Amino acid sequence: MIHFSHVYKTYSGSVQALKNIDLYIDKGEFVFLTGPSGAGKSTLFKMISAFDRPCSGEVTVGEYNMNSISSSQVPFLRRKIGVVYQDFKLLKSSTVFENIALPLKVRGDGDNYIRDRVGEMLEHVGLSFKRDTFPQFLSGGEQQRVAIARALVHHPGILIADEPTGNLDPHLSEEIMDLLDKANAQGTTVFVATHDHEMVKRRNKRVVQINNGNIEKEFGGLDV
Amino acid sequence: MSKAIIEHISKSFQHHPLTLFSSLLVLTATFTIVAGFFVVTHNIENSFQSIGKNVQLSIYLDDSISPEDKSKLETQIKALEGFNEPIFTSKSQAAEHFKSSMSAYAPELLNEEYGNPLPASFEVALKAGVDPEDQLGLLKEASKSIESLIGVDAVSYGQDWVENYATVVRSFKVSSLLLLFVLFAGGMLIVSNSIKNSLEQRREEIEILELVGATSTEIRVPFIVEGAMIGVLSALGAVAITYLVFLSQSGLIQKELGFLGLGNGLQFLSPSKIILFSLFGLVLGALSSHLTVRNINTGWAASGAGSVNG
Ligand SMILES: Nc1ncnc2c1ncn2[C@@H]1O[C@H](COP(=O)(O)OP(=O)(O)O)[C@@H](O)[C@H]1O
Ligand SMILES: [Mg+2]
Repeated sequence: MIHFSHVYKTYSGSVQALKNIDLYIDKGEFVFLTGPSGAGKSTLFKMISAFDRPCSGEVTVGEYNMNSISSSQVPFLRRKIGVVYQDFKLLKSSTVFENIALPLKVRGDGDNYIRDRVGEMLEHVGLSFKRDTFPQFLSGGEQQRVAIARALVHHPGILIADEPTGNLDPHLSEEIMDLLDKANAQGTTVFVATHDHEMVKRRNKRVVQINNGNIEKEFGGLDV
Repeated sequence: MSKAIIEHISKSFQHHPLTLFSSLLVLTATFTIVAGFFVVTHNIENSFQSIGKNVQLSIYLDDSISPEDKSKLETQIKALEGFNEPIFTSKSQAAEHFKSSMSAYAPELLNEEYGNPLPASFEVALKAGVDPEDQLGLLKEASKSIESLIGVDAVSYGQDWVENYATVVRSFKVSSLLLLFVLFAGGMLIVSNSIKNSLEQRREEIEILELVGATSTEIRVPFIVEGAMIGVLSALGAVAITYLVFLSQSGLIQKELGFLGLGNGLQFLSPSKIILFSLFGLVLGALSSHLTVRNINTGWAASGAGSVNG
């Protein structure tokens, strides 16, 4: 599903954000990417969501080769993945419903389908009663649940979450992780970056640990 | 899609009404100058054309011309392109005419004793509607072809006057084109600036739209429509203002500047010109907005296309 092969990324100013990354994530896997701040986690995620590209090496995501993808194909790749960030990235002037509906609107789904599907997602993340509320009136945990609903509403094959619990307290973090687990149980490939080691330990999943742009260690996964 | 555009524009009004209104005001002012300019130009050209109607060629005949040569000459004059039918004035008619107009000043001038020194002549006027810039050429050409014919004494078209007039028309056209160019460039900058502001307010929104897989066209179109709207509203506002000024001033101008020969009165822009002008505002707005949002990609495309194996 996601394949990195000898991937290097150097930012101007000779910051080597990624060095010789080799990584393969299969369909339906749940993988944690851990490492301290500045390790290169976000950079690696940006290669998957086509917000950046490698300097050398190959990245493939689903059927897309990120080295040869054209700018006109990028939106269609993004419609096949869901992305969750630490800072939620919700539209401030749109309601919860409108935020969740966005990926469906963008790909041109009909109003009836959108209403039903968004209703389903609202129920799934337990926010039906906040349907017409604006994000500023939601707690952090609620905002992140809206973001997750938006990332899953269009049935993506892959969900990537870059420190989705970074702004949340431990109790809410567990709620969010449960949602990601549920998505994975329904067949979505889930890739989560975090530096919360306690949570990673509790979850007992495959873990890829990076530091200074290198993959230091990999464990879990097959023996779970 | 259209719902998204309406939302986009109503949000623009909510989020940066001041920039939007100031752009509308300044662009309306600019377009008012342009529209006013068109009205003035149109009326000046009208008055020039009515002066142009009097531009004519006078062909003076030898006293000794034979009737055959005269009729031959007439056919040749009739064959001239761009001119009306010639009018013949005989020697005695010329004398009558002269007498009636000059007798008050010098009654003794045309004394029978000295005979009649005035020549017979053909006069041909330029056809109405000939472009003032082409008039001089036509007159010169016709004058040359007639001058050498048998029985022609002299050909005159008020050379100095017509040449000055052509120069005035030409320089007026050149300077008006320059002025319009400057105003249009300014108008484009105004729209572009407003759209830049709109973009700046929506950095986050654009990033989110990119994130959920909106195509660059989907992201850009609302901005282009916003620019087109600014352009067309400003153009319509400018037409309205110009019309009000026109209504309040045209009577006065006609009275004070009657000598310009604005016989059939001052004219405002015709309905088709108003539509054309609004369309022009729309295109100018859309185009400058398009140029502004051409490279708004914040993500992948911004990371440098083609530099994959660097
Ligand atoms: N756009 C950028 N330009 C320059 N350097 C960057 C950029 N993005 C990230 N970096 C650098 O790359 C390294 C990895 O950053 P990042 O991937 O954000 O780490 P993490 O997400 O693990 O905290 C850091 O040293 C960071 O300063
Ligand atoms: Mg990061």
